[in-house]
Amino acid sequence: MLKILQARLQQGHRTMRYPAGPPPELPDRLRGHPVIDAGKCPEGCRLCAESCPTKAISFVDGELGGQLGGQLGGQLAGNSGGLRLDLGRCLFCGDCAALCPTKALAFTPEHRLATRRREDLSLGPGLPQVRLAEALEPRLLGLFGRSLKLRQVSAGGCNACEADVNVLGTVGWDLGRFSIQFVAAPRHADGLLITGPVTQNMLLALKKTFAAVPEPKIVIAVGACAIAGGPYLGHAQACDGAGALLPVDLYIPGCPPHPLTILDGLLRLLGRVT
Amino acid sequence: MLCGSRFGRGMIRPGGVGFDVDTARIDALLHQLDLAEKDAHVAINLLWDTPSVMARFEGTGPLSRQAAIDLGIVGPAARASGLQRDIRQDQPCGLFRFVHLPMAVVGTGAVFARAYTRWMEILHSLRFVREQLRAMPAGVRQVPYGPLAPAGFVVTLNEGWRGEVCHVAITDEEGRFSRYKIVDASFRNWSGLAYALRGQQISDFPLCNKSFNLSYCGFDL
Repeated sequence: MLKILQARLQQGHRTMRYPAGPPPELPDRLRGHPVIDAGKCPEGCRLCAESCPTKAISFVDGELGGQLGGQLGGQLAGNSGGLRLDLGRCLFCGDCAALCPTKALAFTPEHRLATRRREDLSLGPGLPQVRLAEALEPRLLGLFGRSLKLRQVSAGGCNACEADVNVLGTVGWDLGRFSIQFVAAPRHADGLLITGPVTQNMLLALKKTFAAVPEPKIVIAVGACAIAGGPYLGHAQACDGAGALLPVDLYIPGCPPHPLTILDGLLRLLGRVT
Repeated sequence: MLCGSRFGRGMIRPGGVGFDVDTARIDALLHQLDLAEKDAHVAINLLWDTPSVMARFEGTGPLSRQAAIDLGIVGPAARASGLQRDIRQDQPCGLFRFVHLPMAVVGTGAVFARAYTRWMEILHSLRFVREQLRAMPAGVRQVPYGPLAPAGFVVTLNEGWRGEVCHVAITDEEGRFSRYKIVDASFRNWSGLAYALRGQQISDFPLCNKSFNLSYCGFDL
């Protein structure tokens, strides 16, 4: 008994004040939101696109830029065109930035990445930053805003996303203080939080789990695999992520997204952070 | 701190590593290790000092030495059952050819043994990491590498934290991968869990499960 008390005293209070206080310090080498300056691209250079393991980078040529972006497209028509980076596919490996001869592409430690729509993750001409997730619509916010129960489905990934979601339940982050909780069955849940590329082995299980969640329900896709298949893009044994199979309400990109990125996404969805 | 990722993403690269360390970063790492060790001692020693925990751990989910041999168990679970099995000693490569790490072997084979084996490995690892950080060699971070050898067949074994991880690579006549297979330690050890659960209370399932701490994805997800 005494040892337990001593341990408690030694540990002290560990729960962070965020979001009431500043977020915890992030590692300086963390690869978060990238910054793209397509004006620095050398003519015809495609090193980044060629190095990307998930083909997350593409180039919009001048003419296409003109059709797409109106005035902005016209501005781009002059140079090699707009660089497009799909953060939903991005593994944040940093190879593109490391290879770039002019630092046109660089990763910053900006941790806020979560979006409501798939297209809000496509950085490029006209969209230098992701459109951060807004809260659920009023009816769902009324139901889930003060009590969100999620069923986690691990659909055949590497477990890093699962671990970084799991850590939110530990005393430092304490997800429970926002009334967000992971439950033991889809029938107890308000929605699914999916990780992994959805292997063939997990496809039926995922579909059944989704069907077992009572309406109204939400789906959260965490990590590159769940959003668009990650490194398993196009693999015969996987289904290119939950994004292709289910209606997703929140996308949290990363490989894995830092726990703070995941928490920020969840809090945005519930309107606790704007 | 090393590579910006809690999972070492971007660190292991062909030809070397993705990030280097300087003395400032080494000092920061050593400081973090000191803090982590202090917390670990307090929290983990509480396990052994708490009778209700020990009552649940001792004798639960036993895996005999013979069963571990028959099932081909690897890693800390094997060492908890008394097998002296560790790739760092059995098939050492790289640094492990020169550095001797004490092997944590408990031998009694139940949940307690698997937990205590891990605790000993934490202590060994802390010492090992500190030794290596204080003696970082000079050298190039990453060497350039050429194309893969054609018609090649390579098998590697490394001691992961759950046990041996096996990679097999086969290249075709043009030097492209024709097959790449990874066998995780979890693939070997799930049968150990099934065996250890025999005759146990259903309420001890989570305890036994976590005492092996295997990867579902590493087996059949």
